[in-house]
Formats: sequence, structure tokens, C-alpha cells
Amino acid sequence: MKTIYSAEVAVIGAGAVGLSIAYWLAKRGRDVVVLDREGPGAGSSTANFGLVWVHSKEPHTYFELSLRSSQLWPQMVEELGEDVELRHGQGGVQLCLTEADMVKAQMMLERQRRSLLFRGRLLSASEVLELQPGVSRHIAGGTWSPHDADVNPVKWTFALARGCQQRGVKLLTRTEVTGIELGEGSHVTGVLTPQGRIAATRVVNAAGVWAGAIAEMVGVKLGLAPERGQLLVTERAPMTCPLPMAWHRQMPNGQYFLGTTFEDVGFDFSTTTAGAREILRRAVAALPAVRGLSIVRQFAGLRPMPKDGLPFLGPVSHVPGFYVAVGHSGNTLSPIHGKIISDLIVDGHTDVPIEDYDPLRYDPWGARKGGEERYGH
Amino acid sequence: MRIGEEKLRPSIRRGREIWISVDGSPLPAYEGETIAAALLAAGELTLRHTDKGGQPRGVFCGVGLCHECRVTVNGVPNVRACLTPVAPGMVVERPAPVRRRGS
Amino acid sequence: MRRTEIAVVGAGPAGLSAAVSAARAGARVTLIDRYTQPGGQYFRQFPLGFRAASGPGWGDDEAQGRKLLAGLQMKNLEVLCDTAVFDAKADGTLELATADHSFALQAEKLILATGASERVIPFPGWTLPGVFTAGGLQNLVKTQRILPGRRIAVAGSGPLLYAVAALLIDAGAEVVALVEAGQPAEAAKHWPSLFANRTLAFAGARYLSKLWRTGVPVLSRHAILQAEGKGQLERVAVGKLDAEWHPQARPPTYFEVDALGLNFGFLPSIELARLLGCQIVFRPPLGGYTVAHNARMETSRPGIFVAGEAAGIGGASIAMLQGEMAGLAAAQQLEYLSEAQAEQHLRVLGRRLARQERFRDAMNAVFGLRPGIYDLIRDDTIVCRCEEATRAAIIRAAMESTPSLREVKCRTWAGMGSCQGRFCAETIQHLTAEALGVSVADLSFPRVRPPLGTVPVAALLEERP
Repeated sequence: MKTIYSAEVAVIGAGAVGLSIAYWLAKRGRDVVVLDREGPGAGSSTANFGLVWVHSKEPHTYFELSLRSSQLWPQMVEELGEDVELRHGQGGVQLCLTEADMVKAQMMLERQRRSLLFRGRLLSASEVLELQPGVSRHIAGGTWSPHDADVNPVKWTFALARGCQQRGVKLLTRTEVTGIELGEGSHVTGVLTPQGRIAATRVVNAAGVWAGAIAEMVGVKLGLAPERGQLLVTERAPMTCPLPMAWHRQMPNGQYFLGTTFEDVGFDFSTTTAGAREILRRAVAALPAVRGLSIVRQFAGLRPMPKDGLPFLGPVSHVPGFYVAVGHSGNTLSPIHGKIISDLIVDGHTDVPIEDYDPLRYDPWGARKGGEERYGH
Repeated sequence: MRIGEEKLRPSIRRGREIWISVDGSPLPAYEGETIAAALLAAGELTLRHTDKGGQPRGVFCGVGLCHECRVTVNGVPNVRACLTPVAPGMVVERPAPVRRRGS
Repeated sequence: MRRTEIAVVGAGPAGLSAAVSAARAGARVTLIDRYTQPGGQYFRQFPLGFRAASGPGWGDDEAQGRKLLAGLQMKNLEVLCDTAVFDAKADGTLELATADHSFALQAEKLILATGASERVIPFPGWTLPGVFTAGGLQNLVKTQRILPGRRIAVAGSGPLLYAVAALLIDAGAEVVALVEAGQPAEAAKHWPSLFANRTLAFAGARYLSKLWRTGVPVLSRHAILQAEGKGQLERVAVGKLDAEWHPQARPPTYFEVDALGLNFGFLPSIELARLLGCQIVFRPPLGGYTVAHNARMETSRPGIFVAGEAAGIGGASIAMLQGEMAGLAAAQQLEYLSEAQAEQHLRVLGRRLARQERFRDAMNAVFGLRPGIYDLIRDDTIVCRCEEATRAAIIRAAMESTPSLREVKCRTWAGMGSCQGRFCAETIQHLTAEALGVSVADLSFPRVRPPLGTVPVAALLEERP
């Protein structure tokens, strides 16, 4: 197969995670190519809710990962120099509709406080209403944390794409990966596409929902399944909810963004009226004003959901040069995925704890099968 | 301005005269007319201003497709004036132009 | 789940004809329209609350229109007005919403008569209050009996401008100019085809005669280069075009106006057809993207038919013929007609249709859009009105993207606003294709997403199956 391009690192997937990784690598002087079978933001990056969510994440290491990622957002956005509608610093709110919710929330906050950096707290109903006048009066209270934020995920993804291109990253769009080429000792030597071969000694699987298929090219079963989340957008309304919440947020221009569903339907991006109704029932209970609005857009994204909900993040030990960066809350974690993978590739290690995220944890023997040189299907 | 009832064929009779309020001021209208018609008859062309540029906008397509003619009616925002018939006592508000945030 | 035998979406000339002919054959028909009264744009009725001394004023087509509306009284024909189709499922189930409730409708056969929307080409100042679409202006004058200004111009291209100008004269406005990009004198070249529709041809002649007698300047091969005014329309700059509609480098002529009606023809409304997975074919002389169909008006999806402007811009006569054909073909598939009966009717209708198509093609040759007109759009001209995206932003985004409208939309938000691309999608496609040096047909078209139009939350929450 003809070699059409040569780089140090080939990143598979031009979503927010892949582009963030490419961006961090480029900043550290590495020669990077990003491959996507379509173009930037063709998958979940442009079909998610746009939260940078921290305070309800569990288990604790995952919470800390999210917290650390949140801290990276303002700097990255400033570097990229574009308005991506990031609202960071004022925090986010999670509503408690009942007293039982309040008790659970209190316990969650206790768990999170194991992190000395955590500044979240429990709010009474009146405190919630002071922050979010648009919320229903029938709530019991809520939790607030300054670490939560929100962003326009479409603008974020394309700002990353532009930032990458400005730093010399090559973006090969309409280029589908059909195989991963391995050389001596199963070390990565390149990526195969219908247009030809891309030579690279490091390959990063950031293919989101499709990462399972990419991992199989090196004989690894990730343990990943798509989980559909439907979302609704309303028309513009007067601003009464300036802070993002776990299920709903009012965007800076006044449109409400309402979520969501958790559906096990495979690779099905279609939306349903039943899903819309479910989302709206929850929305009007929390935000009465929504009842008087109209829906202008409905769409669905697929969450790349690992079996235990935790990311697949790190090297694949038996395939030297191959890394994986996939998982749910790709939006929140996109900055830190960039840092971690670039640390691993450039320095050989990272200061961020990633022991819980071994890509091989569901298939420890997988990569060992088959032995020597192997080309993908 | 309203066209005389006999001017065009067929001649018509408008509905009865009623009063609506627009930005707090009373405006006469005729039952059967749309809010857009009543406002245009009174020479009120500008209905809102855009988010980013603060540009004035008014009725454009007249059939409810362009969404330019949005006004607040009886407290409900984003009502299309070209599709909505007037009713006695209807309260119509045109949101004041908002200063652009930052850039 | 509500059920019906034949669901017809859209109650304009095509939909009315389809519904009435299918119901007459004996089928159970449900006719759906988003507006308060059936008739669409062409057979628009006076508002409830107005009384008219005589008929609704549909000119030469009045008798036919009244007959169709009378046909809606049939017991096996159910009419659902103020009802919009906001989504459709792969199996053809329609999701419908009124202002306060929603429900699904399953039909054995579907006829899409979704009509068209007006085409406008952006130019500096086109968003000023006082600038309307010509059809919107016509509606205001004819049905609401309002003149939004005293000194009015109409501009663009196509037969509608002449009808609107004549109406404005009758209504007592001063019609300052009719600015036409095409060259109507060229119509004379096609005179045999024009007689395929004598009624329309004579109407056109009557309009021209009225304009001439009233002294209205008819400026052929001209376009509005710019609209100006402090907060609202006060004047327009009109300039000459060359044969390909490129603005020529000459000083413009200014006209003081306080209202303007724009129309460069019509764009087929194909969103529902796309949602249903019907094949779409790009045919520029017929308005661009049209729903593909066979001689019986059946689309690529068996059991789904199309009629009227959505199948290609052709005017009301063609719409009514196609509607009748679709209604009969759908009824035949449900065995309300034998194959022989259907074949006979369809052959007769097909011959009449072919004649009308000759008239249509002649009109398109004269008034069909020529690409030079896009030169009117300057870098800082707003292209997407809803999200205020300029030509410059769209071109820049196109240059940074793979040939993909999806990417241009994501980068600029153009086409993502309330109008769902109705008034900007074609222009965005053209600008993107031009920037990338490809043809519009080469661009991958972004998926159509529900809802079609907007749906009230209250309606979705109140399901009445």
C-alpha cells in the first residue's frame, strides 16, 4: 500500500477528544496527523449537552479527573482565542426535588470533600431560587459547585480544529481507518486507509463511539457500547437560569437546552416523540417557563459508554505505541485527555492517576492473541 | 394604512373594531386581522432587534415561516404576529433592544 | 394510534385536488394543513371575522377553487387544520401537533403536497423593516387589506411580481417600480408554449397592460443593489444586470420607497419528503431540490406520493393536475379503482399535464434564476437572517471545511436558526459550492432533523392518541 503521509502521531477521530490530544501534542512540538472518516465534530462532539460537569461524578478518582479537567478549560479557551460560550467560575447546580434527594446529595458532597479542592455545598430551596429564579418553587433544594461549567460543544470542537490547524496539525478528513499496521514486537508502524498508508509510530484511538472497531484492529475488545441520549432545544426566552444544571441549561442567547434519555438502541441516531415527551416532563417540573415555549430542534447523540462508565485511557501494554482515549463525558474530559495522552507520548508518563482506566481491563489477554505482525481487516 | 373596504374586489367588511395594547399604549384593530396587520396599519414596522447585532427586524414572509415577526403576547414570548389574530384586550409587547454582550 | 387510509399533507391546490379525488374514489382521507383554513397560499381565504361581498377573489381559478373546497364536505374526508406535521417515522407514521396537543397518525398511503416557500436573494439592507417577500406583501394586501407603505416597489424575478404590482395599483399604492432581473420580452420567443396556458398568459398580459397604463416603470434586467434607511426602509438603489444577471458597474438609480416586495421564484418544500427518506433530485429549472416521482406521482418510497410544488415548481394548474393524479393513484393502490380505470384517468390527466409543463418550461427559460445574481451579496451582507451570519463568515468557514454543509453550519451557525434554513439554505449552498469550486449537487446535504417547523412544548406534553 502506498504511503501517502508520514507523521509521529496519528490520532484517529477528529472529535473534541482527538482534536484536544492533537492540540496538546502540537503545543509540545510533535508532528501530528488527525484522521476522520468524515470531518471535525462528526460524532458525539457536536451532539452532546455541553456540560463541563464535576460535582456529581463518581467514583472518587473519576470525580478528581473531572475536577482537574475543569481547571484546564479556561486556559485552553483563552489560548484558542475564540468565543465558545464557556461559562466557567459561576458554577453549576443540581436540583433536589425531594427531601430524600437532599439526604443523598449531602452524602455525595461528603464523599466529594475527600478532595481538598472541592468547594461545593448544599443549598436550600430559597438559595437555589436566588441563583436560578427560573426554577420551580416545588424543589427541596440543591447542590452547587463552582467547578461545574458549560460550553457550546460545537463551537468548542471547531475552535479546537482551528487551533490544531494553526499549530501545524494535519487534518485528513474523509479518510477512514481500515487497519492498524504493526511491526516488530507488535509496535505500531502505521495506519491503513482506502487512500493509502499513513506512517506513524504512535497511534491514538479517539474514535468515540466507534473506538471499539478501531481497537479490534489491534485485537483488543474494549467493552464499549453506544448509549443514546436525546436532546431538545427551545426557542429563545428571557434569561432566568444563568447557571447550568445537570439535565437542563439555558444558553447565553436564551434558548433552553433540555436533556436527556439513556437508551440502549445500538448505532441509532434517530429521535423519538416518546423521548421528547420524557425530556419535557422532567423539564417542566424543574423549569415551569418551558411549558410556554416551543421546540426548535431535536437530535440525538451516542455516548461511548464503557461497561463500568469509566474512560479507557492510556497505552495498550502489548501494542507499544498504541493509546486509547475514549469514554463518557468526553466533553468535560477533552482537555485532560489531551494533557494525559500528550504526557504519555512525550514523557512516557503522566502525573494524572489513570490506573482505573486501563484499556485492557475487559480484555486482558486480547492483545496477546495472534502474536507477530498483524494487519487490520 | 388600512385599504378601504370597497377599494379591492371583492369588497369586504372587517370584523368589529376592538382595542389591543402595544407596549402599554392602546391600538385600534379589527377582529379578523392579525397582530402584524394591525401593527403595519399603524405604521409600526419594527417588531424586534437581533441578539448579536441589535438590528431592527419586522414582518418579512407574512406566513409564519421566517419567525422574524416575534412579539410577546399576554406574557408569552415568540408569538408570530403574522399568524395570530388580534383579540380584545390583547397585550402585545415588543422587547426593548438589548445591548450586545461583549463582542 | 389514529389511522386513516390516505393522509394528504398540505391543503393548497395540490393537496385539495389529491384529497378530493381520493375521497371521491371512495377512500378514507385525512387532509392536514398547518394554517387555520384550507387553500394554501394560492386559494387563501379571508380571515374568520371578515365578510366578503362575493367570492374570495381568486380570479380565473375561483370556480375551481370553490369546487375543491366544497369537495371537503365529503363524509369520508376529514380535514385537520391548525395541525402541523412535525416529524415522520421510517414506517411513514406522521407525528402531528396543534397548538395544544399532539398525536401520531398512521396512513396506508401518504400524499405529500407540502408546497413551496419564496426564494429571496440577500443584498445589503434586505433585513430592514419594510422589506417583505412579494407573496407576503400580496397576502397582507389581498387578505388582510393592509398597505404597509405608500410608495412600494416589487423586485426579483418571475410572474408573481406582475400580479403583486397590479394588485398594489388596485389597492391605491404608488408602485414606484417593478424591478425584474429577467427579460420578459424574451417570453415572446416562447410564444407557442405560452398558449399552453391561455388563462395565465392573458393574465400576464393584463398585468403588463395595467402597469403600462398606470405609468409604473418596469425595469427589466435590473435588480435592487441595496436597501437603505434609518431603522427602516427609505430608499433602494437599483442597478442594471447583464444577461447572466451579474450587476454591471454603473451608477445605480435611487427610488424613495417605504415598502418592498421581493421574490425570485419558489423553492420546493421537501423537508418532510427528506425525513421520510424519499429520493430527492436536483433540478435547477424546477426550483432546485425536488421530490423524485414516477408518472403516477409515486416517490421512491412505495405508497408515498408527491404532488404540486414539492415535485418541482410549476404553478397551480400543474399542482392541481398532479394532485388529482396522486389521489387517483393512491386510491387505486387501495383498490378503490381498478387498474384499468386508473390508467385511463391518469392518461388523460397526463396529457393535460404535459401541455402545462410546456408553459412552465417557457416561464423558467425567461425567469429562471441565473447565478450572477449572487454577486449582489457583499462580504458583510447578512445571509442567515436568524443567526446573523454574513457571506464573509460562510466563505471563510467553507474554505476551512471539507465539502460539507454540515461543517459550514457548525462553524457559522448559518441555517441553524428559527427558520430552519428556509430563507438561507440555498444561498449557503451556493456560496459554499462556489468557494470550494464544486457544484451544489456535489455538496453533501445535512440531515433534516425534526421538528419540521416549531412545536409547542404544551402540545407535546398533551398526547391525545
